[in-house]
Amino acid sequence: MSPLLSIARTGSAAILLSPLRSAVTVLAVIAVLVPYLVGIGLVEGLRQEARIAIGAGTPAGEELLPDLYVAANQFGRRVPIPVNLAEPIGKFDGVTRVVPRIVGRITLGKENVEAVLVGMPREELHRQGSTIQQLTRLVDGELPGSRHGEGPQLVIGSGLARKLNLEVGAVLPPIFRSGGGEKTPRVTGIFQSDISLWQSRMILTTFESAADIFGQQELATDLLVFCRHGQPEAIRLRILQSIPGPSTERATSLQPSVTSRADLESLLPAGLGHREGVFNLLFVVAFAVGILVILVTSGFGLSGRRREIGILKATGWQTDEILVRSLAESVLLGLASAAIAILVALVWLEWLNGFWIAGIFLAGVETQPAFQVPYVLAAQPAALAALVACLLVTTGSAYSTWRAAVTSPAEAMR
Amino acid sequence: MNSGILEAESLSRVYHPGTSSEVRALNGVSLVIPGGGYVVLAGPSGSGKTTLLSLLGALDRPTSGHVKFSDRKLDECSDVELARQRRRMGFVFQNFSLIPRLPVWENITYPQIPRGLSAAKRRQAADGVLSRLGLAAKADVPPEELSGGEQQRVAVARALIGDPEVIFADEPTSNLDRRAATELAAILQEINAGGTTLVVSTHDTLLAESASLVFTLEDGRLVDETA
Repeated sequence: MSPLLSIARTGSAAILLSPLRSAVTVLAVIAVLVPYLVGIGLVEGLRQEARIAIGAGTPAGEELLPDLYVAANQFGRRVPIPVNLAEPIGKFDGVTRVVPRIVGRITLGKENVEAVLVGMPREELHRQGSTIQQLTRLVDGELPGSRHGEGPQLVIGSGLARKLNLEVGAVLPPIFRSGGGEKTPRVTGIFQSDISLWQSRMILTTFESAADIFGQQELATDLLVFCRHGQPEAIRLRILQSIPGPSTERATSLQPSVTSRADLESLLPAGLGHREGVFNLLFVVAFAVGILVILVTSGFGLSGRRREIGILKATGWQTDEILVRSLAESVLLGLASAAIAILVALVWLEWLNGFWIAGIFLAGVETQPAFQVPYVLAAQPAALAALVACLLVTTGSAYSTWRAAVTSPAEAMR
Repeated sequence: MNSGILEAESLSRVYHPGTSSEVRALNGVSLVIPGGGYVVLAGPSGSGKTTLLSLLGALDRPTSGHVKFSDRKLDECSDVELARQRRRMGFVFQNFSLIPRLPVWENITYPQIPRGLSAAKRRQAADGVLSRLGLAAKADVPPEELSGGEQQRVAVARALIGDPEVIFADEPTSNLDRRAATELAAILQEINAGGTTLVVSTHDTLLAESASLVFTLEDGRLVDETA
């Protein structure tokens, strides 16, 4: 066996010779790595879910997914868009249909539970195979608008239903008033909300009911434009050039904003990348703190370790051989720490569904998430974690080992 | 001065020089240790025996003066060269200085690891030395499970494993009971009888009785040399 390999092997044995020091070092590295892995895993999971939600990769012209999202800006801010703009846009060559949509935030119950109300035309909610149907798998009741002539009908997620103790047929306390008086919304259906983050707080209703609830008639959050294959870019330009037209009095000061599916797809990495950047920044800070922690932990049993190095030198070991032994020990400790950290992150995200930690990284998520927390633990961050763990342990222990190794054996053994 | 395996010339060692805690542990000591001899460094505690032993064994560097080992000046050696010189020596320390949790056979063959010896060869060598010292049954036991006498014999085994030219022992019987000390004295005598030079610092008369040469130190100075 080569001397170098023999020395490196003693490094692995050295881990067991100082069990307390090894355990504390592994724990310190895990404490640094797990939040990083969980954070990056959640960002990747969100990215994947968002891509699915916007239908990334689906070719334009697919009837079930909008190709353009038309909103309005005023003084540089997003404002509601008049619904009557749907008509001129719908007449553009290549447009198959235009669907107005309302998306807004409401609070429910005594606990003021925040939810996102989505209102879409009745026929869109019932369109076979539409995205909304794919995203909202009904577990009880039916979609809004099946029975006419009643008050606002809501379909809520199972998580919200549990939280607010609601079932199909339940009547919600009045959440809005209109010119026609108080209207009492009724739950007509419950969909499975623990599939993804996006559905966890969603309430689905008809466009008219949503307009009533928010008290903003004839306005939509955005218009979903469905186009024929190869047409979206031309239609986008046409919307920007001719909307708003002279016929829309209120809309004269509005500036249209048209976002294509490709734009959303390209915005996705930027938005999530920002969050990822924050994680990385935090990780750099954690790394710096980690080195200090390892420096402190390497103090565990430091006198014993110094004496051990003194014994090795007294019995003929050279300084470089001692450093190789320490390097092997650090690398193995780092790899072991990284492997455990990856396992802990995996267990935390998969089996414990991000209990507590998901709430730290995702705004509005409770301690025990009511939905399947999205995550992707990719090979790249895992490899990075292993590299960082090795660097961390090596950096932390290198100085004390080198100091002991260059000291005379008599001094080191004292 | 006659030539020997080890020579000290005007050897001084000052700890923390220039500070209020300056200690002159050794002051101008010159001596010659003959090859194959059984040499005892005697003297009261604090007289400089351990310091002199460390300097002769290349475990420390002198503040001034020289140590020659087989005509090679140790103070002129690089760290790497010093490490090589130490492989020609063996050490037995007062507190045994064994690596905790490491089985006895691995403890005694640890110095051979950087030489690239396989585990099987190291085990074979260890079994040979341990049998010689009556510790064959303890090869797989960690040192903390052994008595003081057994631990010191393991330390002797480690010193012997590299077939050294000279063995240094620092107060080897001070932590042992009388019976264990007698056994160790017999072992050291046997090693010396085999031709290995022995340098022992002690105030145990048991060890001094067997010596061929006794150097007595006081306050860091050599005050007597008895053949």
